[in-house]
Amino acid sequence: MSDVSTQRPIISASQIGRSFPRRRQNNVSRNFNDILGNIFCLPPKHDRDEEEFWALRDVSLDIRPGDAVGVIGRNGSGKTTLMKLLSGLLAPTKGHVSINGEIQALINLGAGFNQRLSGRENILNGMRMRGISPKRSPELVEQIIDFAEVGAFIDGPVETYSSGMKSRLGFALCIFLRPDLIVIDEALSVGDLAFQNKCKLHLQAMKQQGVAMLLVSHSMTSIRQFCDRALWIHAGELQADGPVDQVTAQYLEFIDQEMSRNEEPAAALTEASPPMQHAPTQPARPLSAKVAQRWSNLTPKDNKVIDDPDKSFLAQNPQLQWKRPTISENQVEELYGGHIEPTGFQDFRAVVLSDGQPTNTLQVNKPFAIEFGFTPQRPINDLNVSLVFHTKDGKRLSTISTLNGDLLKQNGDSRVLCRVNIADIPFAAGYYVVTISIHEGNAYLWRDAILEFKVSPNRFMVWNPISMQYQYNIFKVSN
Amino acid sequence: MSSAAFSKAKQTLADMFGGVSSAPRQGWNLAARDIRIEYVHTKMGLFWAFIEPLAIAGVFIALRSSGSLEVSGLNMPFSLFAVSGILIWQTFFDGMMMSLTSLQRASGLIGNYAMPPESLMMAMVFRSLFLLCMRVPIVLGLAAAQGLLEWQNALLFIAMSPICALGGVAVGLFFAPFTLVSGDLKLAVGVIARPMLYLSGAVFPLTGGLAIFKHGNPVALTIEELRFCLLSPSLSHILPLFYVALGIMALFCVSWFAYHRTMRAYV
Repeated sequence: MSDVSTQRPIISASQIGRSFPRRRQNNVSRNFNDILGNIFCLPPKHDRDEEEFWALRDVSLDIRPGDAVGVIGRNGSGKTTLMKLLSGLLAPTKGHVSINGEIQALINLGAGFNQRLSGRENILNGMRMRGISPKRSPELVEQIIDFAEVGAFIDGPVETYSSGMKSRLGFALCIFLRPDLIVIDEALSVGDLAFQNKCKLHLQAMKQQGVAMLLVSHSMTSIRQFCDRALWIHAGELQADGPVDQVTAQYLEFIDQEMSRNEEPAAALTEASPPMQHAPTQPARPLSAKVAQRWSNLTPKDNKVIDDPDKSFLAQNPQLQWKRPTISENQVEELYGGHIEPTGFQDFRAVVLSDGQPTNTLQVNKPFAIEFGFTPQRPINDLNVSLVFHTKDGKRLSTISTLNGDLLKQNGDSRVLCRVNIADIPFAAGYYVVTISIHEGNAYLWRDAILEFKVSPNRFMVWNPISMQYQYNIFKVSN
Repeated sequence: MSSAAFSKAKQTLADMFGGVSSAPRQGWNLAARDIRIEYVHTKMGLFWAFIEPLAIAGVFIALRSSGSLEVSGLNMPFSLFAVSGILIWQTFFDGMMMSLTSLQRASGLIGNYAMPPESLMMAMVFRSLFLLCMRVPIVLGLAAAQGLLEWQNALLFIAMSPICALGGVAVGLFFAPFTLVSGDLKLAVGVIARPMLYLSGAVFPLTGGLAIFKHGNPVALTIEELRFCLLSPSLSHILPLFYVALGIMALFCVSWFAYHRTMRAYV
């Protein structure tokens, strides 16, 4: 395989910008002179310049085969405009976009369907519009229909479909047409959790086959799971373009500053927060000390790789079988955020350990550990595992994820064997459930309840789910 | 012209010719889609496109047979005169109105498919030609039924009649950018164009004081010369048609440029 950096870009954008007339936003169209001036290639007059709203300015970037690029930024920052410019749905007012390949934009899914035609006819039309002959690819039509899960409705008019069915059909149509680049603008919230996961798994497989991805999302988790590179757009300008962890951290730092500025009472501030510097430099900056500290706090400093797997409890006790808690899949769906059937791995085992011994009863504020292991059935290079702690009635309390530090990202097909040491269980006495999410990229390979344990009270009363460790200092004040 | 404007114009021309490569295929698919949508829930399907001109012809045949309507001084039966004129004019009118409203209709489409303006233009040309294909056989059939048609004249008529379809699309494209200023233009063009049916020599010959509407009216000229092609073609009739065709092509190029720039900038 040739080096990605030397391959010809699928998209090459040079100093692109796009403006919109402010008057059109007020439902008043362009005037006659504007139209005529544009036809005669005349520059806009200065007094009209003030009425231009620049949604995006001076953005330059390349997207090459195999790139997975996340686009982040606040609402109204210009992300969707950038997506439309890059996918050729909108022409730039300034600059130039060069496109060398087939691009599919997952924007406004299903909006291009004709309501009077059936789902099948819309699929055939969509294929023809993209230059694919349905007669030559009848199997592709059936694949799209199967993937969209619209069943017998496929031959009924689209106007009778639910919005979810239309979106699923739109999504299936776009991803099955074998593009070189897929542009996804918050489109992954299609259908129910199982269908969303099916889409994510399909996209992950396409990514591994070298299809480039451009993903707009407000979920930093999705961006970090799925992308290697990120672009941060703010107020129509490219603030940063670089490795995904650096750019997302920079963005979160910015959001943090913005929120601090909005939330802290002015009187309490002794020094005004310095305004965010929107440096024109494109590469991502190193993290500030504040953010670096916050992020490092999320991943314990003593994460370590142990070369001898036989030291793990699970390896030492192969006769012990893991038993799934007696919680129905429906309960997992309703109480613990969703259930996804396992795929792509086998031999899962997990255990709760206290003092090195398996248990299902823990003491408040005492250390414990969770060990788990599984064997991938194929190489998984974007692997991450999250353990989520819930109260029995479904309150989500805490998440521990290998995403912090990308601990398992390049695991390949080796058996995964991990122990998570927790120095202090801060939960009040009660019953708790641990769910696991095994991800490939941002798609689930499995999501289910894996462990259930009880926390026994100590001699102090605890009224809420969290029991913080504390020490009172009582100052004796004499009358 | 400033150098910046010249460079923009040059870039636009490059984009236009770049868009031409995929335009016929995408245009054909778009036109086929639109036609399919129009007749999707009908039992008779495409036959409806044929029925409309057939009904027009039927009315004039009935009028002629009843003897209640006869116009003198024509070089052909009045029914053939009126049917050929109306169908040629209707093709021009349909092409014009379709193109006139295309920018508004395009916004929904190009939000989902990356396609150059040329594809939309070609779709309008194809749809207009489709309507023509439904109408030409009626005219030829009527002429044949009256024993007036020779095969070489029929071929000439078939070859020259697309002028009216292209002419309608070219005029529509020319005005289309200005429909973004206000929807009034679309309505105004419709209101002005409809009475022109009677002032273009389509239904009645323009004689006497009405002849003034014939001068400088390319639609009237096209209708008149196409009728001659049908019955007694000569160089003196083909040449004006050739000039009209050249004029339409020139207008089409200007309209294409304006349409391309407007669509890229505002839609």
